[in-house]
Amino acid sequence: MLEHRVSSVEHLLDRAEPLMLFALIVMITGVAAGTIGAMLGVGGAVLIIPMLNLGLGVPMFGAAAVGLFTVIGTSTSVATAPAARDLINVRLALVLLVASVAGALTGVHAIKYFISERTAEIIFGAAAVMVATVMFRRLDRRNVTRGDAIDIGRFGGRFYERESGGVVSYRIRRLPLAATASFTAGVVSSITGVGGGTVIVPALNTWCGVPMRAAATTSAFMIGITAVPGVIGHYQLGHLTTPNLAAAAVLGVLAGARVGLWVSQRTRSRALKLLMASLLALVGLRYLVLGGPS
Amino acid sequence: MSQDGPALRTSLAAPLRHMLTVGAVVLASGLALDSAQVPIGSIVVTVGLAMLVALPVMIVIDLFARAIRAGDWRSAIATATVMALMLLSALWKSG
Repeated sequence: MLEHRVSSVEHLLDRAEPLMLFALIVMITGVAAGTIGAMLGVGGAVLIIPMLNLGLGVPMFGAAAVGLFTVIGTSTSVATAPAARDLINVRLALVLLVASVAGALTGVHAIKYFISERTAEIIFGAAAVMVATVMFRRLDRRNVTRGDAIDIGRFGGRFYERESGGVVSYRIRRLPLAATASFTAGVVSSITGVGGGTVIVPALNTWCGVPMRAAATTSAFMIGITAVPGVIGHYQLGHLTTPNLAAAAVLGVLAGARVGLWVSQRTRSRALKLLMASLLALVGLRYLVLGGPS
Repeated sequence: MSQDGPALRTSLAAPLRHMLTVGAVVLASGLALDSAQVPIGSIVVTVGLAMLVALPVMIVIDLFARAIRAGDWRSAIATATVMALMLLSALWKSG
């Protein structure tokens, strides 16, 4: 059945008009991924890649290339949002970007020399299970920050927290660990097409003392820049066979992210988060055990 | 409020936001042209995607310039390294 679906997709890709239909399906998928991603605080790529790969039969590396374009779109959207400016720790991000971009470059080289599609699927599966685990753990957790005025050091930061109604400060601990996590995130990002926030955010929050909101926004700022070598690499390796799909996915995710932010400000997302975490865990396990559609 | 100070803020935010909007319009136009089977449709889509990829690069270049102006050499070195790695990834195939 899957072979039939893949051949159907390839048949569609050979023809101009069905390709537009296919692009429309991808755009709608992007809207759904962007909406759910924004509501749950995860990037759209982790949702759109399995939809493209398992649902529509796009090869794993092709889906990864499309995913990286959506990462750049959502990351730039976050980085330029006025509300995010005070939360992004640029000085910390710049140091970690050296590691994450180096990791992305390493990932691209790995794809060229020894990473097969099956290996990429396993890495994606592991990343999806990791996202699901993080989502399960944060179901009822409020993002607690330190309210005391501390010496923030060279890489720490301060920002206004609406919940507590004051300025909170934080100091960075274990910077080498954050750099290692960023390097890993870069490798995972370029191989699988997900943003890498899966690795960066828990590391910054749990091990390095960065409050969750600052960690998530700084990570969102970083992943778009980290995705650039991955996009270039996938393009050079010929994985981006249909730019229309990437365009449709980007448009869908950008629109969906706005819808998701609007909805998330008006609803409680616990049930949806639980559902999506379960779904992501299943998708991740599916990739780990059975692999993709091909 | 951030301890980075104004020097390292992404002050290109407004122009970049506009460029993101323009990029989205270009992508949508390219898709529409392609659906109408106008030959330049795919070129317009490619231009839109290139604009999208250029955005993070512009952010890094902007941060580099601001770090230099602020005399923050560590940040300048970090951004220069990121730019060099990006350039390396672009030149990699011919290497």
